[in-house]
Formats: sequence, structure tokens, C-alpha cells
Amino acid sequence: MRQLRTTTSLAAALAAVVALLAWASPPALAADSAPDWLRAAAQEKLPDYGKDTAAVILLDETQTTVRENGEIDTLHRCAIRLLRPEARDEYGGEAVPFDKDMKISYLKAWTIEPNGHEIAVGEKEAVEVGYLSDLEYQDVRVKTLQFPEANPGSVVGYEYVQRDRPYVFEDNWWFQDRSPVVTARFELQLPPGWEFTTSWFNYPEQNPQTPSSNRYVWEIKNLPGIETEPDMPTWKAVAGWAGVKYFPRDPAMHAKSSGSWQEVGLWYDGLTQSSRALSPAIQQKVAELTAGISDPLEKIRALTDYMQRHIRYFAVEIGIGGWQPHPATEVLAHQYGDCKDKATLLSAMLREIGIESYYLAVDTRRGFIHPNYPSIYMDHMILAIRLPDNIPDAGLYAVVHDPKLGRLLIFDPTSERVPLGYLPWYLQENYGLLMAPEGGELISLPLLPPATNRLLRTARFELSAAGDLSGEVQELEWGGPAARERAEFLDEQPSKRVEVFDHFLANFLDNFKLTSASLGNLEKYDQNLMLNYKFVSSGYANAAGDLLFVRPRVVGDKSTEMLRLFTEQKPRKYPIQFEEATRQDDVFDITLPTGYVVDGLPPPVQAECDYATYHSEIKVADGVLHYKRTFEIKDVVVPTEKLPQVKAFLRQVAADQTASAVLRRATP
Amino acid sequence: MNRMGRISGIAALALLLIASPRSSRATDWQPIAPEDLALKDNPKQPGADAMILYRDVVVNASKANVDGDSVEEYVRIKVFTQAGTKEGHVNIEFVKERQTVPYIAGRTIRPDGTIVKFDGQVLETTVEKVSGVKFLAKSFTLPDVQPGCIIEYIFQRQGKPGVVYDHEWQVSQSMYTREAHFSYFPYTGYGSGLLPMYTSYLLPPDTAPKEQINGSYMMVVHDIPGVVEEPLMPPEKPIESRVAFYYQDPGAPSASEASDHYWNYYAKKWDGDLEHFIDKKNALNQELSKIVSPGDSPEVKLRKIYAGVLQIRNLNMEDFKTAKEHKDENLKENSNVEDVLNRRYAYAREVNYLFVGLARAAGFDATEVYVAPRNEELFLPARNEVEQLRADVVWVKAGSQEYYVDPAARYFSFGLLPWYESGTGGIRVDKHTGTVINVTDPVSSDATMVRTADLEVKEDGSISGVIQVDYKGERAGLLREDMRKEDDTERTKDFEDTVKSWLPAGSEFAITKIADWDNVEQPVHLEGTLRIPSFATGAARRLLMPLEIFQMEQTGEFASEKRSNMVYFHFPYEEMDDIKLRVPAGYKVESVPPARNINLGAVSFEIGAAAQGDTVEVKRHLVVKGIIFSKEDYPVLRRFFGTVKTNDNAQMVLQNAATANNN
Repeated sequence: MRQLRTTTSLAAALAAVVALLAWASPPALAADSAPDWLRAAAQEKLPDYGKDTAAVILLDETQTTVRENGEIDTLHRCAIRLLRPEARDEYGGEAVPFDKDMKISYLKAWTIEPNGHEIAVGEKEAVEVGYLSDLEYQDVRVKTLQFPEANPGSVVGYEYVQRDRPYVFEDNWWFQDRSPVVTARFELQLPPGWEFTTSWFNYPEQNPQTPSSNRYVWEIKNLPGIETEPDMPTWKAVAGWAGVKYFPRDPAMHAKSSGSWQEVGLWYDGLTQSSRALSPAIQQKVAELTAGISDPLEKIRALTDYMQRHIRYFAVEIGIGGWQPHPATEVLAHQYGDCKDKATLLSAMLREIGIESYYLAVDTRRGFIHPNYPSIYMDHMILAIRLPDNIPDAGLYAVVHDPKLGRLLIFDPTSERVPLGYLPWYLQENYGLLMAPEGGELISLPLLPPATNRLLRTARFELSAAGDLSGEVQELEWGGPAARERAEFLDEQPSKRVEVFDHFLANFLDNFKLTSASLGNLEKYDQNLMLNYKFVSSGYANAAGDLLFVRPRVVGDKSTEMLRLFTEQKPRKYPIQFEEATRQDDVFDITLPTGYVVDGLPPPVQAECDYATYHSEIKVADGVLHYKRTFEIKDVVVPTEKLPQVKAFLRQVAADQTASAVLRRATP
Repeated sequence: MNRMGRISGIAALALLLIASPRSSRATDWQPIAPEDLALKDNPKQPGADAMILYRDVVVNASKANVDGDSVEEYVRIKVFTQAGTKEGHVNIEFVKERQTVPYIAGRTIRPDGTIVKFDGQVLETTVEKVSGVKFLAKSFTLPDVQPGCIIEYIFQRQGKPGVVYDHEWQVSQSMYTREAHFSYFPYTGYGSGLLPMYTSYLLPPDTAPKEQINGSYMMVVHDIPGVVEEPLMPPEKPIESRVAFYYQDPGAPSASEASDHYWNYYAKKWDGDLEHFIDKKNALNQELSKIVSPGDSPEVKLRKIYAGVLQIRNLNMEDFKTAKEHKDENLKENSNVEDVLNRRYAYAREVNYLFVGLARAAGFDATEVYVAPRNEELFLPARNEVEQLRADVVWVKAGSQEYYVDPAARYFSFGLLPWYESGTGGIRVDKHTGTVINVTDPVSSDATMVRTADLEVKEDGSISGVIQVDYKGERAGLLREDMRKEDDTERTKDFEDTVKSWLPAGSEFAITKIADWDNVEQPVHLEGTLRIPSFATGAARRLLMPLEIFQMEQTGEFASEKRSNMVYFHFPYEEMDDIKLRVPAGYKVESVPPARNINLGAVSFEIGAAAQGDTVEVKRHLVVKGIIFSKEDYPVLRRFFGTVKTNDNAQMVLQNAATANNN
């Protein structure tokens, strides 16, 4: 049996110190008693949830107390019955994030074992974990408590009190969980004269009880668990939740309440007023970057290109820094920043060449923003560039028309490989909060047409009588496919990039040798990406007597990954999201071996569903087998009721992909 | 005459000055060579994102008792690509209770030679805080890092006084290193009696730490390739260059002594521990009488003892317990086998001690063997380093038959070791000696997966039916160990996912039975039903189907044509498939691919199909006998697995009988 022996290494020494400290913890038997609320929850009689259910949330309670000065304290309380060992992974402990604005004033947890024995753990047993990354620094840390004896049959519970961020008066109550919830409760205590609103999502609106003055209680019983499925919409789009907003009596604090998108915009404007101030250094840099360029669009491109390539992504988020960008001068000096820093510096630089631009707050999780629920909780910042009349927008697919501001070119300075004029897939069919001069304005971001996300693969092959296939493939990509492919190659060291070809071909060929491979425009993001590769595949076609079976679809796959979304025995519950609309063509010519004629060909396929189409056909002329197919995704969200249709469609595609042509030796 | 005595006073002073611990500050930046600025790629290993041009590591523990130890590192990196700019962000981890990072400096040298000094913020992050011990990191990002530039930084970790720690020169880095200098100043505190030792791993030829006149060590290396991550990698330790410094245990033989002395010392010590723990003959005899019968054969006796010891609760196989849980359960330390037998719980080594005690009580020759676990390193007896032997197994002899067992591993059948304890070396503990031994090499038949299927092909190309899978030996042990904390529901789901991963996307598989899960002497047996919607494809009045329904697991492992490391299989293994396919009514088997048999010695493969009536039976046998293959063998292995895949995918042809009659 492997076991660590004594060592003088640092890690081991520290582990020993930690272990000693842990063992030395004094007993606190009196403090082990579980609180009454947990004991009461543990007595709850449960229905039969079925063998797959790992845990049941007996009670999930939040008590929010708002004070007159705007301070907010929240008590969280939760009781969970563990039914299966798997529950330990998710409910074996609790992690509470905190920073200087979200201090934890109390934290304790208990386990009630099946025999009624109670054990408690508190702050002393908590492990504190920070966030170390090459991409960001933030002061948020996490206190983690492991529940003792978190075994099937036990009830675990925890309680903590935390000061909330004072920046906005907004609370989201997530009352559904991956496990069933017996009781979810939310209590709100407001100072006199304060008002509130609630908005309900994926669940009917509930009225509160008012047990005392300015105290409101919502309670929901017996909620089913939300099962997670691959490629399902974001949690906020499927789970029940309520958005709660408070409106203070004091008008001076109104700015913290986001009653409308306009108000959210005004709040953000207040936060960022001085961020985009110009400085001599910025002006000098702009002059340097645009020197000799007269075309205004090219000037914009010079600045956006600089932002994507030269300002490295590194986020420093401390306190309100999660929302407030660093000043443009600072970003330029450091040459790094996060999404809002990049947007800030670019906006300042654009202003220097006479182009106005506006922050556009977005969320990369499609479906996260609800148009009728104004909120500042979004995860990304980009820029809307106001195009002057002298800039034509031909070839700029990411232009939206605003009734007041005219043509706005949407640009994400953080997305390094999506050039000016394109919209990254996660922003398409989405919303963005435009921080316009008169306040916020929610705008729709379009789904770009399939033609903007293209893959055109052409190939010429030769098949030998022995079944060996050799040939050359050329790929031309732009839009989404090009951005993804570029990422795949650029994430590898130059010497390892050839392996990307190897790995791709290994999906389709058994015994192959890549004989050459090259990439064109790999780092010219505004140009089409070109791939060119040659290979030899031994025994590609199967022989059976006088017959030779050859699969005309030599490389490329349009169905396997998507079919994996349907591998569970039970039907999916939630919609599927494709990344983008796309059109992809394969055009292959296979020269047949001398002496062979075609004995049979797979039939042409015309498959379609509401969201995609697939056409393939094979013809033979002059000893050459011509195969072509077109795969097009037209829409990106497939509702649940349409999933069987998509599954059937994908199976048709899968069958066509594996179909073979039959060749017969004409002359013995 | 002492050789040292011939060094003149001036020369000695000069050497001492050279060998003094450096105290770097920003003024110590080395000059930048124009050719380094102009460098576009690493000429010796082209195609990198970045490379280390120069590195200098100075470890100073000379006054650890009063000043604390310190590690100072100077790194100069050439950035070649955009991806390489990530090297401009640096995290320096340290432990607050014993270290500080008092000094950090850095700069960026642009391709045109202009210098941007780092004057940004150094941020401190709490990586983890456990029971008051804080693991922190200082982070900084160098300015204006672009392809073509050179970045360099210096930092110092300063230890607090009082404790003397071991140190290591980590020579291999993730990037190629052109030149690196290392210094180590061992602890020389008054009356320490500590003797510094070192062990080096995979250093370039003719390179070794050189002891200086003042007792320090220095080393210069050139052209150290970066560590390349690949599938089927050997464990990191045997492929990384490094030098480990440590202090000899007080009273232990010097690492420079003859190996037999060195290992005898430890063997004697370990034997003492063992003898002391099992010195409870009455308790052992009493337990033995409950387990074995006088008429049992020697092997049966040993098997029964093994099975009996497996019943002891093995605390190492349980979840980590908090101090609170330990206290709550009131677990006491076992002093001997009697405690173990009374309390019925034990830690891993105590479990093995118990087996030795019972085996001896039954009249067998048995003892402990300390081995180098092969998932971490390979045992080199000539290297006097006890840290190599991090695992233990039991050697037992019945007549002329020798067995190696590890009941503490809990989930492996009698006579079968976990892979990392087999095929490795170790020290067998005897009364006064330690014997260097090689633990039995694993064999492929000890890790066999047998898959049988009875399937029906439908005219629409789908196939459905039942399959059975038996995981034998090593495979069964590893599964039982990995899934030991799962319940039936989770285990069933995991097995279903495993089988689905062998099948084409969109296939359905449901487990109907899992047998013998708790019987370690039996294979893990699965049964289930499957349906593959589009397995056979239509081709002009025919249905075509690949011979093998299960997709080869090794495909991704051999996708790349290039290889940097040796290929390392954890253990030899076999796959045996027997698939029966009934063709649809109205169809007949037109052809099946010819049988193939490839035998390269270390790997072999056989596949064949036979048609009888409306049924085709496909038999497949893949054997991997070797564990380690040199990178020169990689192309052969890659070709072999490519050929396996080709033959797995060779098509059998079913013809519509009515159409065939018309032809």
C-alpha cells in the first residue's frame, strides 16, 4: 500500500503543522448542539424521490435586513438531507465568497447523523481559499467548511451572516436547486418608507406574507430539482428565481436602485465619468497608430487591432473594481486590463480621432439578460462605436441601428481573434445595455446569417486499387469557424501546430501519414483563414472480392458532437443552444482506381429540421467520384419540443457520413 | 597531506568570494546581447512560444538558524509568439508563516532594445489558509510584453529563522533553458552535525553539482529541453532534471557509504518496527484458528488469511476525516496486532503487518518489502536515498512458491498487486539485512477485459442486443478502488457512460446487471442492452458494417506523429471480444474481411469473422505485453494501433438476398 513516509519537505512539514493544529482543536461538546430550525427540518417527512435523487434541500432560507443607511445584512440558512454518497460532492461542505465589502460575521455548520448524534463545526475549522490565476487578480476569497460525517442518511446544515455589497439595491433569490427543495423562504426587512418590487422568472408570481411592519416573507414548497444537461441554456433561463429590488426613502441613494435600464445606465455613467479622460500619452499613441492613415474606418481598425493584440488581458478587480474600469491612462501605461479596461482605453482613443463610442454591458451567457428586468449583473463589457456618415458599413456585420444614435458598430476588444465587423458567437441573439448619453438603453444584438460563419473544404484525392487514399485538402474559413480554428492553432506552440492536423485526421482515418500542412493568414484575423494539408491513408477503402467500398466523406464531421447531447436514456428536458448560424460545405473529388467502375452509390440526402439543413450528393463522371454536401444551421436555440426533430435530423446526417460507395473491378 | 592545505590564503579567499551567496538587486541585470534581441526562434528546438535564455538560482541555507534560508531566482525569458506573452505574468507562491518575499524586480526589453522597468503593483493573493497557516502568492505583470521582447525578473523568498529545510534545484522547466546557474549554501550552523547530501536526476552528461571549498555546491547547465506533456507519459520524476538536497538522518549511514550498508541500516530499522508490532503470538494464533483449518493446503491457508485481513477496516481507504470526526469516533492508535484484532481497524501499513504476523503464525516465511511506487519513480538501489521507497507490500513463501501481496490495497485479489507496486524494485526486510529484490513483473493476462455480445442487425442499419463485460485482475482492482465510495446508482451510471464511450455517438446502453462487485477474487461482471441506431450503412442493395462494434480506446493516444517522451503503459493488458451478429431477414452475408494476425512480440492483435447461417461471429484479441517503450519505438506502436483500427473498421458486407438472386 502506498503511503507517504516522513519527509522534511516544506509541504510535508506544513501538513504536519496543520494536522497538529487540527488535532489540537479543543472539544466543544456543548456547542455541538444543532439549532432548532435544523432539527425541525430534519424531522420533515419526505416523499419518495426516486433512486437517482442524491439529496433533498429541506430548507433554504435567506433573511435580508436593509438598514436606513443602506447597509444590508443577510442571514443564509440551509438544511440538506443526504440520500446517496454522490451527494457529498455537492453538499459535503459549503463555500462562502467574501471580500472587504462582504464580510462574514458568523459561520457555523452542523451534521445530524442518522442516529441523532449532532456534530458542529465553525470558523475555526474553515479553510480560506483565494483565487490565483494568470488572467486576473481579485480580492474575493472563499471560506469553506466541510461538514463532518456527511454520509447518506445524515442531515447537514449551515448558517452564516454576511454583509452585502453596498453598491446596488438588488437581490436575486434563487429558490430552485439541482436537488428538490422542500421549503424555500425569503424574508425581507426594510426600513420604514422604503419600497420594493419583485420580478418572477420561470415560476408564477408569489405574494408575500407580512408578519410585521415592513417585513415580507415569501415561502415556496416542494420544488423539483433542475437536472443539468449538456448545452442547456444558462441556469437563469430555466430555474425559478425572483429578482428583488429596494427603493430607499432618501433620494440621495436612489441611484443605487435599478428601476429601469435607463437608471442602470446613469448609475454606470456616474461610476465611469472620468475613466475615459484623454492624456498626452494616449494622444501620442493614437497619433503613432494612425499615422499615414486617412481612411476613417482604417483608423478605427488600427486602434481596435492594437487593443486586441497589444493590450494583454489581465484583470485587477478589487471591491467595486468588478464594475468600475481603471482610467484609460493607467491601462495604457500598464499595457494590460480586463474587458472594461480595454473598452475604456479604446473609447478614449476613438474619441481622439473624433469617433464617439459607448460602453455596452453584455452577458456571455445567452438568455441571462431579461429585457423586462433591468439589472447591472452582467459579466462582460464591450464597446458600441458610433459610425459617422462617411464610413460605409459594407462588410461590417456587427452593425445595429439605434433610433437616436444611428449606426453602432459592436466590437469586443477582449475577443482577440474576432476582427472588427464580426460579432463573437456568444453575443449574437443576445442583449446589451448601451450606456448612452441619456442613460441606459437595452438593445438587441443580432444573430448573424449563416454566410458570415463559413467553412469551405475542397479536396482532391486518388484511390488506389489496394484501397490507399492520397490527396490534398484546402479549407477556407471565416467568422466563427475561423476564430475557433485559430484559437486551436495559436494555443499550441508553433512546433506543435502540426499535431492539430494529426488529431483532426485521426478522427476519420485509421492509418495515415500527414505529408504536408500549412496555414495561411493565421494571425491576420481580418483575413480568411486557410488550411492546406496532404496525407496518405493506407487501406482507406475496404476490399471484398472484386468489390471496393469507399466512404466519400473522407474528413469532416457534422453530427457526432451534437448527437452526444442525446446520449441519456431519458428525453432531454431543456432546449439546446448552438453557438452560431453557419454554412459549411465539403466538395471532394476522388479519382477511382483504373479498372474499377461504380457498382452502387449512397442515395442523395435532403435532410432538414426547423433549425438546420443538410444536403449531400454523389456523382460519377470520367472515373471521378464527385461528392458534395452542405450543412447549414439557421437558428441557434432549439426548444424542447423540437428536440426529437433535431435528433432525427442528426441521425440522418450521421448515416450519410458513414455511407460508402461500392466499386467493382470491371476487368478481372 | 591534506590537499586543501596546499591552497594559498589568497586563492582560498578568492574562492570564498566567488562562492558567496549572491544578493541580487536591480543593478545586477545582466547585459543584453544584441543577438538575443534579434532571436526569432530557439535554434536548438524551433517552434516554441518562449524560451529561458538565462536562469540563476541561489539557495542559501547557511544561516538558516539565525537568518532563515533564502532562495533567490533570476530569470530571463525570450518571448517569440503572442501565446508566449503569458510569461509576463508571474506568481510567486510562499508560506506566510515561514517566508516573506522581500524583493521583486523586473523589466521588459522591447525588440528595439528600449527598456521598460516594472514599476507596477505587486499584488498579494491568499491561495489557501488552513488552521491559521497561510499560503500566499505575490503576483505581478511585466509591462508591454510583446513577441520579440525579452523579459527578466528577480525575486527572493526569505525564510524565517529556526528551521532547516531540504531544498531542490528544479532544473527542468516547462520551457527550454539555454543556460542556468545553480548555487546551494548548506546549513553550517554551530554544532548542527547535519551533513548535506544531494541526489541528482537526469542531468546532462558530465554535469553534476560541484562542491566548493566552503562547502557550497554549484552547477551550470546548458540546453535543457522543456518538459513536453503527452498522452501515456511516464511519471514526471524520471523525466525531469533536478537535484535534491537533503540532510542525512542523524545516526543513519551516509549516503556516500556502500549501498548494502545503507539499505541494511534501514532494513534493520524497519524490521524492528515490524517485529515489535507483530509480537503478540497468542492474539495471532487465536485469530488464525478462526480463519484457517489444519487440512488446508498452504495456498488455501494464505488465501484465507488474505481474505480475513481484508475484513479489517482500512482507514486509508476512507474519506479524509477532520479532527472533529476523529475525536468524535474516538479512534485510538494501534500499538500492535492485538490492538488491530480487537479494534478491527488499522492504517494501511498495519494491515500489511497483520498479514505478515498471521502468515508467520501459520508457519510461512513472510516479511515486508519496501518498494518504489512506479507511478512516481523507478528504484535505483545504488542511489542511497530512502525516500525512493514510499510503498510497502508483503513477501510470503509457501514451499517453493513465492507470493507478493498487498492486503492494504484492499481491492486486489490474492497474489495481485496494484500496478504501481509491481514490476518495480525494493528492499526486502530481513532480520539483519535488506535484500534488493525485483517485485514480480505484471503480465497482460492479469489485466484482461472480455466483451461478449449477442446482437441483431436490423434492415434500417441499427443493431441491438445484449452485451457482457468482464473486467479481470488489475482492471477489476482498479475499478473497485476508484468506485469504492459510489453507490449502485452512481456505479451503474459510470459503467453505462464507459460503455457508451466505446460506441458511436447517439448509441443507447443500459446496465441490467453488475455482479461480483464485492468479491475481489472474481472479475467485475456487467450485463446490459445496447442499441446503435446507424451502425450498418446502406450501399447499393447492401449493408456494410465494421467488424468491431467497440471503438478503439487508444486512438487519441497515438494521433500525433511526433513523440518527445517514452511511451509508458501503466500495466500490460489484453482485450478479448466475441461478438455475434444476426443479419436481418432477407439478407445474407456476402463477404467478411479476411482474418488478420499481427504479432510484434510486445504487442499483438488478432481479428477474424466467421459466417454461419444468419450469424457472423467476430473474435478479436489485442495484447499489450510491454510497459515502457522508447520514443524510437513510437512510430512502430503508432503504426500497430493504426492497423488495429483499420482492421476493426474493415467492413463486412450483407447483401439483400432477393437482389442477390436476381443478379
